[in-house]
Amino acid sequence: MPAIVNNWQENMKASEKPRLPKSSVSMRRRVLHHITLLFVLSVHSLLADVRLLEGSDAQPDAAGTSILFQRDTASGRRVGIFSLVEQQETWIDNRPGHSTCPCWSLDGSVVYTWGYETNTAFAARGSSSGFNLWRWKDGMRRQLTFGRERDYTPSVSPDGRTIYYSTTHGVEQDDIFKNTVALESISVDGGDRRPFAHIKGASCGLVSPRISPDGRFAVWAQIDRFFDTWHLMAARVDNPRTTCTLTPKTFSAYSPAWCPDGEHLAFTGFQMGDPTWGVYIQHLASGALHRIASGRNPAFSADGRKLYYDQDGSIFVHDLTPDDFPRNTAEACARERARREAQEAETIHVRAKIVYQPAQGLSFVAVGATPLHPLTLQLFFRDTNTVEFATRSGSDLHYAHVLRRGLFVPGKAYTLTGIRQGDTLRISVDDEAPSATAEFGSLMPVQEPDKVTRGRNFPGKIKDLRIKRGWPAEVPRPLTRDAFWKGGAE
Amino acid sequence: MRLFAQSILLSVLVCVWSVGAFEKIALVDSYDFGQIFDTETKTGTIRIVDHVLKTGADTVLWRNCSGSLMRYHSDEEKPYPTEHPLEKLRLPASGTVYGWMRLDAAEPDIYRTAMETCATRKVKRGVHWPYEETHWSSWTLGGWNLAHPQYWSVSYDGMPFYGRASLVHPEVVAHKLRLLDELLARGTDIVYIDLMRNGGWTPAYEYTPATRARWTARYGSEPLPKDWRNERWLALISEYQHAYLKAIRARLDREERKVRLILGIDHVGRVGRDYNWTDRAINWRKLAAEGVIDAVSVMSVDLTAIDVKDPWTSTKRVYDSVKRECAGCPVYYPIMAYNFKGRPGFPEYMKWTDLSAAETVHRLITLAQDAGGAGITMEVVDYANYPEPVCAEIRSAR
Repeated sequence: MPAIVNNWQENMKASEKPRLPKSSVSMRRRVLHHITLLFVLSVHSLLADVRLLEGSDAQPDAAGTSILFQRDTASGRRVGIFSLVEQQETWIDNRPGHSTCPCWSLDGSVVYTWGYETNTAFAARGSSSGFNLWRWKDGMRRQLTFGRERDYTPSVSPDGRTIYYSTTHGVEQDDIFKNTVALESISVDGGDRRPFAHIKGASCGLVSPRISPDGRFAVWAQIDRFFDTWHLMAARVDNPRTTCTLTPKTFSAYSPAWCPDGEHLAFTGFQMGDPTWGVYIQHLASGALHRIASGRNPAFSADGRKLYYDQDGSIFVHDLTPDDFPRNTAEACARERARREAQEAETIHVRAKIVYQPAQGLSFVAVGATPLHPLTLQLFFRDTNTVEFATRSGSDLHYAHVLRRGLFVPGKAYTLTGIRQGDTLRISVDDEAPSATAEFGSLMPVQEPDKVTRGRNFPGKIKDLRIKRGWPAEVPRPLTRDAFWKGGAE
Repeated sequence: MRLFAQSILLSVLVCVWSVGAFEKIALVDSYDFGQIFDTETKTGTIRIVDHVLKTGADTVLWRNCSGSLMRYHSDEEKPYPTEHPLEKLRLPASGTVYGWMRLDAAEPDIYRTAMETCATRKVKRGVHWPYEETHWSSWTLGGWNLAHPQYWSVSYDGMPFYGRASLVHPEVVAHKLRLLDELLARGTDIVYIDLMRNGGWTPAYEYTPATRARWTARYGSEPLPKDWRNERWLALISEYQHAYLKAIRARLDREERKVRLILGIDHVGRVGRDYNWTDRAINWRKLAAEGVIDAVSVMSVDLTAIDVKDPWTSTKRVYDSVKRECAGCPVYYPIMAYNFKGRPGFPEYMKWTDLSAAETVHRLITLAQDAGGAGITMEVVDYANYPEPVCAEIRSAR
């Protein structure tokens, strides 16, 4: 736990009282006492993280003299700049409503989200305002995005030209829950808005995109479906469809921040056994992890020597030491080895190009039978909202499946691909990166079916069907860490 | 033995207390009215209550939350931002109206308004509290849940799951009881715990460190069962869920007025497994026998229990079995306007029997009365989903 030490000089002053009468203590002993005290306080300030101010989501500037922050006040969330030199706060946007998710741009301007909803949702039908991106500099504000959307968690690319952010704009609102968030980019002047990355499904999203110091890689937090947990993903900026998962399944992780060295990432994480959310640092090449402290929303200083984070409504700064940067731990190596093995495991896929029509009950696009089981592979619609890919478990031949929810429109063409790689099942719709995965322990041996039934109770059209060993070339393949950082190409 | 006798006596007393008119309970989700009335206003709330009362309901149970996002000014949730997109872990919903509702911040306090309106209309009132902490969507996650991952559910493989903060933790129970305090302060006279709505949670997600430790303490080095429907696993989880419901009972008993605790059980009569046990790890029979709950509400009869060629007899068989197993505890039977997966509502009975909606509901009400039911539970009352002829049947039920 970080101690709340506002200023070691203040403690020094406090410790000078009360003073012992001069006559009862020798001069030498008094000097020794003061030196010891100075030493202890110096060590203490090194060991304890320093509390800076009330707030969260600190973002230090390039010069190391100021930090952006946000704070919840009685009148809403506010974004401010805290001067580390003058120890003073300046609010950026004092309008009613909420300002949030601030980040620096290269020219010292601040990009953030602002929204102010005065009406009830019912009364606001037809409203065109939402939570949009704004840019502030020297007291002047400019709106960058518009519309009844939520545009949030922005960051500016290291070259200062592009803002990456999360948005509800334009995503496929494909079922009644309408709970999907994608990534977009926009120029710092507000033009050239374009999609960057998304996954399809209900209750899935990509949040907090951050670009590496060299501008080549993007990382973000992602959740693939309702029964998932937040995890960190990486992709090349020029090919965001091919991704690498950075954090293990046993972690919940979000709010990533690049270290200036480009080799480490800090993030908010939690795994079973942690007391609460913690600030972690990961060595990207090996995946090794180290927990710094309980807290959230880390951000490195520009020189990489300090880490800012927040805990219980206060922002702290941590002086980094070499021990904070993990490398090649045995655990990380074992994890990556397992991932490589999974990648090299036997793979088979079922791929169908269809024109969808709904049916009553289960509707089978393809069923593959082998001597071991008549339902060795199944690709089917459970209902109008759910497509499934299934096989059998290894021990008892029980049903093992992965499903992907979406709103399948009658008469519309879709490409469905179910992939079994080792003991992992995946499903992809329209060649998206397969976001739905499932593991059922050991599965039955990979076998190509010797009999395939097409279209049982499927009133739509099957224009093409392929069942084949290997990963389908059309579908982006998740990369191992090695493949990603060394080349990024498959 | 003494405790057993006391429990029986208490159950009988509760039964005697509860004997009265055939009660007609409406479960109300104001969110569903969002496109029709302005649900974030006092006027809209009153209009919802008045619309619900047209069904003939004499008891209104108001849903207090979407998942774990409260729908009133909750002090317990106040420290945590609820408006989207202020919390990065909560994906915002985007639908027009539904995606922008802020029922937790509406003025005046929506839940209090609903309770006061019921009092003014002289109908019984209370909370319909789903057992879930999400409603299958990230936007429904409450702030307390998100701020405390150390209490989250965990899968067998160690994946943290935000779907529910586990009741194995005393801190979670304390949090729930503080929420209960807030509801009681707003005039809640009935607490209805709905086991149908689980937000994806099942005992499959109870592999928390604390539950694992309990397993180890009891069974030593025996491995954790991977099959979460393992009997011993369910028994372990049931212990602390039972304790939770007892804690609710104890809290209600401290109120000067009588506050009833009703447990809504789901997929009743399912062939092959006792669903509320295998999928919720809750022993409702024991809760009824011990007098922890004041009534059982059959939220649905499982499809597998129904002979579609003679749905009335097979349904009555299920009703009778619940009544027998309730140890004298009052039982409510369902009138469901919707068919849910594996749980037929009255529209499905209409198809099987070729009867009109009114005739079907009349038969279902008669079955409930013949089974000695204390009343019916209308799951769920939305705008105009109970047609007027059906409402006439419900109004006339005594």
